[in-house]
Parts: sequence; C-alpha cells; structure tokens
Amino acid sequence: MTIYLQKVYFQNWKCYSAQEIKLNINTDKNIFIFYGQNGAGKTSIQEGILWCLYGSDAVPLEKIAEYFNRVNLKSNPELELSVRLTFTDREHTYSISRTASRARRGSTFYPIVRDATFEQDGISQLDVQERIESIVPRSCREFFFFDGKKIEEYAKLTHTDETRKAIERTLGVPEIRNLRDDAEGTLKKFEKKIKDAAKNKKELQAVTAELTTLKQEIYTKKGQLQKFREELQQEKKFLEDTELRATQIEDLNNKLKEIEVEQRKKIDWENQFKSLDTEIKQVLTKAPIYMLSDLVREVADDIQTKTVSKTRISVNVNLLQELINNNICVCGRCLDSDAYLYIQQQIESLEQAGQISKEAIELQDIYTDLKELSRYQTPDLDKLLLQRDRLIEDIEEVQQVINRKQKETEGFNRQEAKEIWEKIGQLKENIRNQENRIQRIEKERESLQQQENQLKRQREQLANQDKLTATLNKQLTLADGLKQAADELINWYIDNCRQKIEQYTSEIHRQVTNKPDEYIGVQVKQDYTLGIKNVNDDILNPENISAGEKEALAFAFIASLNLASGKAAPLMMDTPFGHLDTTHQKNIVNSLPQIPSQVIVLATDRDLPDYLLQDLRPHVGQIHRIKRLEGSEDASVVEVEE
Amino acid sequence: MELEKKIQELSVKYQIPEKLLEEAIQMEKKNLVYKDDRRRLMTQLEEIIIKYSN
Repeated sequence: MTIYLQKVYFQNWKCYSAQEIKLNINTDKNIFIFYGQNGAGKTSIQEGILWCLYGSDAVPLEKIAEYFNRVNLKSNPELELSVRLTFTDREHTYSISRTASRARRGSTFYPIVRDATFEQDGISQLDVQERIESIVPRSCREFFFFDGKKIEEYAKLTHTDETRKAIERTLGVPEIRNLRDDAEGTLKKFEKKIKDAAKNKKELQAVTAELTTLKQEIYTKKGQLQKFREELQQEKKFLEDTELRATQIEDLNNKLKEIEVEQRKKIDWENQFKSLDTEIKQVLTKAPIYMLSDLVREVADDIQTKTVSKTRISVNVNLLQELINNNICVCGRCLDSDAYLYIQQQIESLEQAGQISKEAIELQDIYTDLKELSRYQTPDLDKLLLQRDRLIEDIEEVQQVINRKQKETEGFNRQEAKEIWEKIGQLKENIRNQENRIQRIEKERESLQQQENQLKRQREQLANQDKLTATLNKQLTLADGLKQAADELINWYIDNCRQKIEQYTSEIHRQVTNKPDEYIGVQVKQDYTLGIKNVNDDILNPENISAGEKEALAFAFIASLNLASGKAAPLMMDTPFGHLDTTHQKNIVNSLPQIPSQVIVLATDRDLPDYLLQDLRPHVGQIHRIKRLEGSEDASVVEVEE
Repeated sequence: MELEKKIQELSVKYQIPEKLLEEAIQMEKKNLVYKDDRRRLMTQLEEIIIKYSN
C-alpha cells in the first residue's frame, strides 16, 4: 500500500506565515522537487512535517519556542502556530494536525504544544499516535525522512539497538515475534484449562502432567541447543578471526625474516663501503705522485740520458787506460811517448769531466727509483667516488626498507606466532566437541519429541472419553501447533527479510556506486550492518571506503529498507547529494524513479543541477520553488514552478 | 507471496488450518503497538483458536 503526501499547510511555522503546498498525485509521476537556496526554508518544510507527525520527539519544545513566525510575532506576541498534513492511500484520506501556542509568564513567553489530531476521511479518530504510526512508524522515520548527514549513520560498522529495532520494525518483524510470544502464552492457558478439567480423571491428569514435564525437558533441550549453537557460532567466528590473525602474524613473521636479510645486505654493503673509503683515502694520499708522474718520467728519462753519457765516458776512460797499460795502439804498434802523454792527458780530461763511476751509480739508483714511481698506474678516482656514492645510497635505501618493515612489525613478538597455531588447534578441537555435543542433544530432543507425540496421542484418546476434555484437547493441539509454527516462522521471516534487503541493497548499490565493476554486491549481516562484496568475493568494511562511497551505500540500504517495508511511505530527502561527486550524484538521481514510493527532494540548484534534472524530468510530478520574500526578513513562500 | 507459501508449508507441517495462522498474523499486525510494554493479545488469539477448533 503506497501512501502519498497530498497537502501540507503551515501557519506561522518558521519562515512560513500561511503556506499551503499541494502535491499533484493524480499522475504516475512520483518525484516532487522543492528548489531553494540555502536558508530559504527547505529544512523548515521537513522539520514541520516531522513535528506534525511526532511532536517533541522530532522537534524539542525549546526549539518550538523559536519557531513561531517572527514577522507575525511582532504584531501578535500570543501567536499560534500549526502544521497540517494530508496523506492518502488513494482509498482513504488521513489528516494530521498539530498546534502550538505561546503563553505568557510575567514578561516572558513559553510554548505550549497541543496533542496532534487525526482524521480519517474527515472523521476524527481517538488513537491518534497509533494511527500516525500506521502511516510512518516513529522508530523508522529516519528511513523515510533523511538528509545528507543522517545518511552517513547507516554506513557505520555497528548499529545501535535503537537502529536495529527501527530496521526490524520497518521490516515487520515485531508483529511476528509478538505472535510467537502470544502463541506461547495462549498454549499455557490451554494447558492449564485441560489440567483443571482433568482433575477427576487420574489417568488423563497423569498423562497431562507427564506431558508438561516432557515439554519442560524439550524446552530445556531447545534452550541448550540454542545456547550451544550460539557458542558454536562464536567459536567459529573466533576461529575465523584467529586464522585471520595467524595469516597476519605469518605475514609479520615473514617481514621479520626479510628484515634480517636486509640487515645482512646492509652489513655487507657497509663493509664494502669501509674498504672503498680506505682505498680512496690512499689514492688521495698518493695523489701528488700521480699528478707529477709525467714530470717524474721526464726526469727519469733525463737521468737515463746522463747515465748513458757517463757510462760512455767511463767506457772511453777504461779503453784508454787499457791502451796505456798494454802500451800498444789499436793499430798494433807500440805507443810512443807523445801518444802515451796524449792519452794520459785525455784520461785526466775525461775523469775531470765527470767523477764518472760514483756519480753514474748514484744516477742509476735515482733513475731506478724514479722509473719505479713513474710506473704507478693512476687510479680512476671518479669511478671509486661514484661507487662509494652508490653504496651510500644503497645503504640509506636498505635502512629505509628496514625502518618501514620494523614499523610494520612493531609490537609483534615471535612468541605470539608460536602460540597462535596452538590456539587454532585448540579452537578446532573445541568446535568439534561443540558439534558433537549439539548432535547428541539433538538426538535426545528427537527422542523426547517422539515420547511427546506418543503421550499426545494417549492424551487424545483419554480426552476423547469426555466432550469437554475432547474439545479442550483439540484447542490445545491447535495452540501447540500454532506456537511451533510461529517459532519457525519468526526465524524464517528474519532470515528472509535480511536476504531480501541484501538483494535490494545490492541491486540499488550497483546502480549508484561509481565502481560498478569493482563492487558486485552488498552483504547485510545478522545485525544489519553492511559489508561490500568486491569482485574477488572479499567483504570490504564500509569504514575503509570513501565518504562518498559510504553515502552511496547508505542510500542503497535506506532505499532497500523502504522497498522491503512494503509500507511505501513518502521518502523525503533534504539536500542528500550536495557534497557527492558528480558520478554518485548522477547515479543516485537516476535510481530515484526505481523507488516505488513518492519521492520528495529538497535541493539547492547545486544539489540537483539542470543536467541532472533533465534525466529525472520524465518522472517528476511537480517542481516547486521556495523563495525569500523581498524586503522582509524570515519570510518565504513556496510556488509551483511547473 | 513468499510469506503465504511459508504459512501454507507450516500449516501442513504442524497440522493447523492455514487460515488460523493467517488470521493470527493479521490480528498481530492490526493490533501492533510500538511500545516496550506492548499490548498482550492472548485473549484474542485464544478466541481465534477456539473458532478454528469447532
């Protein structure tokens, strides 16, 4: 059943002096847009509707004191404000109205809020609040009236109890849960009735008493089973978490090993650096030699030349000395006195020319030393310096890697790594034991149920001997069946609703996300918190996605709850897309026509720019514009634009 | 639709009239009160059971 907001009337409500807003619902176009600049009065419309529906729960009394129209208040301090809403389900019309007035206490005024009134087809109804609840339950109003800020709350990692209850109420869970509780209470009533009726029938009494005891035992077994199953779930969850931790620990352990490798590498490079540095220092110490090597070579060559000429002189002296000693000329004749004298003079002259042998030896030594020096190869200092620089860079780099890995492994101890696998083993053992225990109790319960069925048949036979007990037994059997059916129904219903909202949320999310190729679905957990499934089938925590993605997810969830509720009350959004990126904006706007309820969007031109409106236009019922009145502060009007 | 199917399945399984379960659910829906100390509906449920036992 779809409920439409048909009319809103504000009197002296905030910036609206006397404003009637009519929504044309006589078409199949379900989207209504209210454009207005910031501060024009968009939020005042939503706030007024919420106040009319839920009173002080939605707008506190102290705020109401400030909400009387300021313009009119100047001429009339005892002003009355009111909001009237008209809804329709196309079969009936529902009118809700709430009023507040200002009362004087001395020189100050305080607000008095009167109870809301409710009319169905023009006839006043008494149970006003319950009637309002049937249109939009108070506790799930946030799924129908929300803004950009509120939307963020639904993508949180955990929900409060209140939010969980609100979700369940939207899904219609409480009524099924109430049925289960009422069926249990009714069954007890019938059991008491048959017990009373069987007072004079000993056998029937005994069987009934036995059945009561047996039921108690079955109830206890069911309780045990539920407890053990919950424990098993917890153990499995704990195992899952521990295995995840073990994987992380393995990862950390591997990082520690990598740190060791990096540290060895660093030590090796540091040693290389030390020897290279020493080599460079030596090269620098010998630098003058290398710099003077050409000069040294030249000197050596020069000395060699000198040595050669000295050697020649020495050879000549020796030859002349030999001639004198032998007293024979090279031609074979004996030396005459003139020749002898001449040779003697030549020898003296040559010996004077240069201290031959001693000096020649000295020159030879110097020459050898200089030659040795000139043989030194000039090392490639640039290459050595480059190698040293590279080593410095490598050492710095490896130190950074070590630092990063050390930071990642901070607080990790290897003891934990050893213990965690023992813990996993223990947990697996606990799970096996718990599963065996559950199996055993299930068998015991089955056996007890067989006994119960047998006793029921026995009781039926005994009860049928008397008309009253026969009737009571029939009623008791029905109550028992109803209770068991309600028991099973509630579990199925909750699971089915969860699956349904998971399916709806996934479908809507695929339409609104800006990463449709990456995110393939949404997981709705038992406590209605959300996870995003990616293409690798991993579940991503919504805390780890961007703010825009979170809001897209929350929007999908809210819209899916709206779909799953079957209530289809009007969905009113106050500037929900203003701060989203254009892709998310466009996707959300394009998904609005898929929502089967009436959708009312309060937006600025920036929230819903013209290019987005064009896509939406075929589905838009009406566009209203909220305008500030010129020359008057705090006064706005709503006009139908098209 | 799914709920109707489930009601049918449960009524067969627990041997109760389908209408009894349907009526009981409708009664709970109609009288639902969103308060913690919710209204108990055992008397109404008792009446429905008596009706279907005849």
